[in-house]
Amino acid sequence: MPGDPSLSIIPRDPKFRGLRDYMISFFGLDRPQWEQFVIYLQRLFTLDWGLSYQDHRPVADILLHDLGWTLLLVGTSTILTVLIGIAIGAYSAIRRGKPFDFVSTGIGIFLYGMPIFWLGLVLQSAFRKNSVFQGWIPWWPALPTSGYYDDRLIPWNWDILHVADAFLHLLLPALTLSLGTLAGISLVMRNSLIDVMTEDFVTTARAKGLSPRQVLRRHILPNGMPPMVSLIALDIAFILGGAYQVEVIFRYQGIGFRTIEAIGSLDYPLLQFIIVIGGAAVVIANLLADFLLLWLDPRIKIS
Amino acid sequence: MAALLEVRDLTIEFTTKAGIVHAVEGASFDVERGEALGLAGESGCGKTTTALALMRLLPYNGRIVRGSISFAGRSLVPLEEASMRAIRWKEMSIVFQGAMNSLNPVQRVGRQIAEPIILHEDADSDVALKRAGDLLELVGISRNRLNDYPHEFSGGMRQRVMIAMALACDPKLVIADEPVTALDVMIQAQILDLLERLRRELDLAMILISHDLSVLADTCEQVTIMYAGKTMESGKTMDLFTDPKHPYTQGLVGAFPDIRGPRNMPEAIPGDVPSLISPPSGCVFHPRCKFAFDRCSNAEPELSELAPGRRAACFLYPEVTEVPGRSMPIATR
Repeated sequence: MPGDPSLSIIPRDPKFRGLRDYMISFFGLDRPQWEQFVIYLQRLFTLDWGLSYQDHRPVADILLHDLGWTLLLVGTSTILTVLIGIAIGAYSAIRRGKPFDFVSTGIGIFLYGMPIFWLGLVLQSAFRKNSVFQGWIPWWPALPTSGYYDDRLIPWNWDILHVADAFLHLLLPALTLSLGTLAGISLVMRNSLIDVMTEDFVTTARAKGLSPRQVLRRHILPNGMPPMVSLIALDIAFILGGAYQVEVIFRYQGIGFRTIEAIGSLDYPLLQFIIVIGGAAVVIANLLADFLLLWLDPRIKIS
Repeated sequence: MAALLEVRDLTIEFTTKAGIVHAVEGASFDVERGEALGLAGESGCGKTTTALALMRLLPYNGRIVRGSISFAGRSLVPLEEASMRAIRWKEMSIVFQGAMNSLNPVQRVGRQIAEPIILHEDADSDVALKRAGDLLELVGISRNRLNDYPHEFSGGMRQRVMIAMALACDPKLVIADEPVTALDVMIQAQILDLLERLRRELDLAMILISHDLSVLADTCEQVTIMYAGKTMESGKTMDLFTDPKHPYTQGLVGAFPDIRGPRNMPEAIPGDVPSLISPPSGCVFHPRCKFAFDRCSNAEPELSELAPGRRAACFLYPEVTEVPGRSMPIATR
């Protein structure tokens, strides 16, 4: 991402020469790079994360706002994905080799292999206003395809109308994100459970006279969960770092959308902070996953 | 009175991609109350499959094709799953090979032992846990360890836990499938002594499965020798070991080093256990049998009674005279 950020802020015109010089020295861009880096580090650790070149607001303020919306989107889709994925995975594992397993695995891989921007576009054209389906099926719904909520409802306030509208706007992006990652969860769940099912202690559990449901709940699931926890933690961290494609396609202005914009306008302070947040998210999610694993699996000990 | 367990002509097949595996064919044996039966044979000859079939726990691709299992007067093969579940562990329990993997790694052993008690006897969990503690003490483990996880026990102790668990509901029959295989010799002896002591004290019937004849020799009254899914020979343990009739049994007994005898490498049986998908024609053992003759590859020998309680499936018996130019093989040891 090379380039001169001042050029994207100030018109390329000799008249603005003075303003440009002022901006450059204001943001410290005239100093040697190592000095800029030391200053950046120093500010990073003193919680001064800088101003956005574009709108001259503290990047923390901008991203705090974005983070809220991204969390809503990612949270909704993660909860959906995890619940549905675990259910489908568990059911396929029990029905291994049966039609349900084939069909769910097939559809899962199909969606998983589909580029997420393409899936988003397909869903948009299927559910936009006046989509072809509406011509065929009278009750076919039209869902909003961009933004957090309807522009006419600005400013945001917490009434039922706003919340319902935000929910409608959330549907398509969350669905896209969920469908795209569902197979990742359900297939790992399926394989993890199938691995556990061949363990001797499962035969022991069956030999004890437990019903298949009891065997599943008491013996298979508790042993099949640890791999899932690590996977879900990593997934969340990655998506938090930016559901770029979905957010851009649906003009859902969360962190991912902001990232792409910041790249376009060479907004270095904003990008640097997004990357720091992404890194922190991975570390924190892994830490939480490790604590959860510690609780799930008694064989893991802190030493 | 009928025997506690009567197995007749038990035949089990597995459907696999490579074809149908004839895992067990025509297994027949009895276990009397309080008696121990040994099942012996090389790996992969259907011992474990037989054990799983007795509890109707065959994997999804396995099924009992024909034969009957009669246990305490009930016929188990046609029994529906729900009634079978009520018999499992309550009346017939099993100790698997290598307790390493037979215990749930993320559950405290106390809960695992108590689980069948709660399930079958409708006990509340305090009573069941107290029972679990008693059972642990019975197998020589302190009851303080109820709250430990399986990985906190050594291999031998885990097998003790498994045995304690098998006794949880006072079963009539305990199947011990290779109970000492993964353990070192000292621990093997301890576990076998423990099994033997419990069997006498609790008047248990037991099926002991092992490829190690010395394990069976100490413990069992009756022994059945299996090979490639078929029963080769059965009889009283002492008779069978001192005077093995079937060439396979002779081979197994001969493959055992004699601690007092000359220091020779024991004689091995040449070859491997045949494929169970396409077993050899005639007698399954004939490709490896040093006494094999024409008839062995054409016809299958019946399991016939040589003496009361002593049966073998071999053309050498009892019509030995039919074999031209061949003297009756004699176990040389």
